[in-house]
Amino acid sequence: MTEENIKDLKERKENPITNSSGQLRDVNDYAVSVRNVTKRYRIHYEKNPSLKETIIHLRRTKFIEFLALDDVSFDVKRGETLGIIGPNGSGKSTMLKLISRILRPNKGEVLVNGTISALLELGAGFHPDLTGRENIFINAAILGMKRRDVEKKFSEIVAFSELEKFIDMPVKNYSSGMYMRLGFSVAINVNPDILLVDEVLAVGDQSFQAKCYKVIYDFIKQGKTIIIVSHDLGTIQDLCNRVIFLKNGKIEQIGGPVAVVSSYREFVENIEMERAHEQQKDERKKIFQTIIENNQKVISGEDIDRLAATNLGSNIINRFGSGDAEITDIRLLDSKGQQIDYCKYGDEISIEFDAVFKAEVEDPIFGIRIVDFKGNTVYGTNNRLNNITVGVLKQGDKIKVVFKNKIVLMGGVYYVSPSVGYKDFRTYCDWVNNMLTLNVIKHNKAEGIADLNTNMSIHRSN
Amino acid sequence: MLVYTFVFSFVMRLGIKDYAVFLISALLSWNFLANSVSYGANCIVANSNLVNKIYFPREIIPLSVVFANLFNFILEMTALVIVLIFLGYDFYIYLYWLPVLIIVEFFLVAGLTLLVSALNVFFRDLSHLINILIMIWFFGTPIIYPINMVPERFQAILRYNPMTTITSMFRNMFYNVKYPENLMWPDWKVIVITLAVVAIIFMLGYFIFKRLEPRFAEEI
Repeated sequence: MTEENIKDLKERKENPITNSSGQLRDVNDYAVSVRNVTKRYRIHYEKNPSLKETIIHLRRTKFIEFLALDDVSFDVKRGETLGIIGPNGSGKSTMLKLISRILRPNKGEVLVNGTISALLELGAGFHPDLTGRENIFINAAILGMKRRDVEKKFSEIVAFSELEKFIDMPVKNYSSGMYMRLGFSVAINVNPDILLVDEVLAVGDQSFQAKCYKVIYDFIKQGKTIIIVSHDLGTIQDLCNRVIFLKNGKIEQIGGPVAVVSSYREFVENIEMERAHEQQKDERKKIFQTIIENNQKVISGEDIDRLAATNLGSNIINRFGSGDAEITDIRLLDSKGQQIDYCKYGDEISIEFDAVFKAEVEDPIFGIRIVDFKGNTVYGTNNRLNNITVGVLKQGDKIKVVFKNKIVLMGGVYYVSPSVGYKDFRTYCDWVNNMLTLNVIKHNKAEGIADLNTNMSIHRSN
Repeated sequence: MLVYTFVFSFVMRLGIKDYAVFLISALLSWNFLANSVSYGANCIVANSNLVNKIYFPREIIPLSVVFANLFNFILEMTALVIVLIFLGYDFYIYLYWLPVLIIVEFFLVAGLTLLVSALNVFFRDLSHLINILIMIWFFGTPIIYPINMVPERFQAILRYNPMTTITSMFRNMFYNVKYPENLMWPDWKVIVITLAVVAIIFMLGYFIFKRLEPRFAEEI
C-alpha cells in the first residue's frame, strides 16, 4: 500500500460520494440497488433429479428449503466500495451471485446500473487442453469482452499475470497459482463499472498480491463501484467505505467499516468463546476424573496448567492444593489504594491477595497468572522470579501479597489466578482459578492483546 | 456409413443405383440434427462450472453446440460435392435451395437443442431417452430407404415429420439430379406444414429454455 493510496482512501472515507439532494432513487445515482430480496434454496434429498422418479412418484423429488437471504435491501452508490462480511452460510456469496445475475431472487429485485465483472472464481471457464493464450480469449469473451478489445489488451493481460514464458502452454500444465493469476488478470482487464470480488484477493505470492491490491485501488480511484466479500477483516476495513454484516440471511448491521467490523469481531469472539467453553467442559471433567481416581491430595503444576487451559472463557472458581495455605481474598486497587472494578490502558494498578497459613511451609512461592478470555496466558509472575525469598512460614501466619502493575493491555476481559505454591514449583498449597476478573476498558485504536503504544509516521522516501 | 452401404446395396437389395450417394445425400443433414440434439442434451450440465460462476446468456452454450455441428455439416457437404464432381452429378442445378434448407434445418435443430438442454438440467435421465427417440425418428424418416417404398397411408403421417421434407430436399439436390424420374418436389401444403412445425418447435424450445434458465445455476 503506497502512501498515495492511503491518502486517497482517507479522503474518500471522509468525503463519501453523495449527491446533493440525498435521494437514492435517482436512476443514475446508485450502481446496485437490492430491494427486499429473498432467496430460498431447495435442497434435494436425492442426488440428481430424474424423469423416472418423477413419473413413478407423479411429482418432483422431495426437498427442504433453505432461506439464504431474507428480505434484504440496500443500495450501493456509484464509486462506493462496499464490503460484505458475516459467518459462513450467512448469504454473502449468494448476494454476489444475485447481483451478478447468476441466481435470481425468489422475491424482490436487484437493479444494476452498469456492466459487471464478477471475480467469483478465478479461471472458472478455462479449458484445460487449450493454451493460456487461447483461454485468455475464451475467458474474456465469456466475461463479455469483444475480440478486438482482447487483442488490444492481450499483452497487458499477459504482463500482469507474469506468465509470458508459459502463455503457449496448455493450462492443464499450469500450477494452481499460475491458473489463478491468469484468471485474475483476465477478469481485472474486462474493465467493468462494477466489480464483484469474492475472497479472491489472496492470489499468488506477496508481490502478486500487492499488484492485485494496487489494481483494486486503481479501480477505487477511477470511481468504480466495488463489492467485496471477504473474511479478511483487515482488507475490508482498509478498502471499504461501507460494510454490511450479514447474519443468517439478514442484515445485522450496515455502516462505516470500523464500527461494523468491530461488532462483527465481537460476534465471532463470542461464538468462539461459547464453542471453546463447550469443548473444554468435557476435558475438564476428564482431568478431574483422573485426579479423583488417582486419589491425589496434592495437585501438580502440570495438572493445573492443563486445567487452566480447559477453563476457557469461564470465571467459575476452581480451587486446588493441599490446603497448607488458603487464599482468602483478592482485590484490584488503583494507585491511591482505592478498590476498583475496572481500569483502562496506562493505569497504575495493584493486585493484592491475602493468604493464611495452616501449616509450616518452607520458601513458599506466591504468584499470579493473568489469562485472556480464550485462556491464553497474558502474564504470570511470582516472588522467585522477582528474587524475593520469604523463608519459613508457620501456622497462623497471615500474608498480604501485592503486585504493582501498569496496564498495557488492550481492552477486554482478563482473569487473574493467585497461587501459593511449594518451593518445588510443581505442587501447590492453594491455587484459585480466575479469582479476580480484570476489566480493561476498550478503545478502538488498535487490535490484539498488548498495547505497544505505537507512534506511527509515514515518510516519503523518493 | 460403409455398413449401411454394404447392407442396403448387397444384402437388402433395394435396387437403388449409387446407394452410397443416395444415403449420404440425406444422412448428412440428419447427422447435423442427431449430433446436435444428443450432445446438446448434456451441454448445460457439462458446463456447470461456467453456469455456476459466470453470468452470460445461457443459450450460448446449446447454440455453440448447434453452430459447431453446423460447421461440420457444411464441411461434410463440401467433401460430398467434391465426390459428386468426380461421379458426374450435376449438383449445381438445384444448389440455390441450399441456404434456405440450411436455415430451416438450423431453426429446427436449435429449437430442439435448446429444449432438451434445458429439460435435461431438471431430469438428468432425459439424455438416455433422447438417444432412443432420435433412433426411432431416424427410422421414421426416409433416409436409408426412399419415401416411395413407404405404403401410401403412412406417407401421409411422414408429411408431418419436418425431417422428411428436409432430407428429401437434400436428396433431390445431391442425388436425384442424376435420376430426374425420382425428383419429388413437396407440394405447398407439405411446405407449409414443415415450416409451421419448425417454427413451433423453435419457439417452444426457446420459450421453455428462457423460462427455465433462471433456475439453472441452483439446479446443477
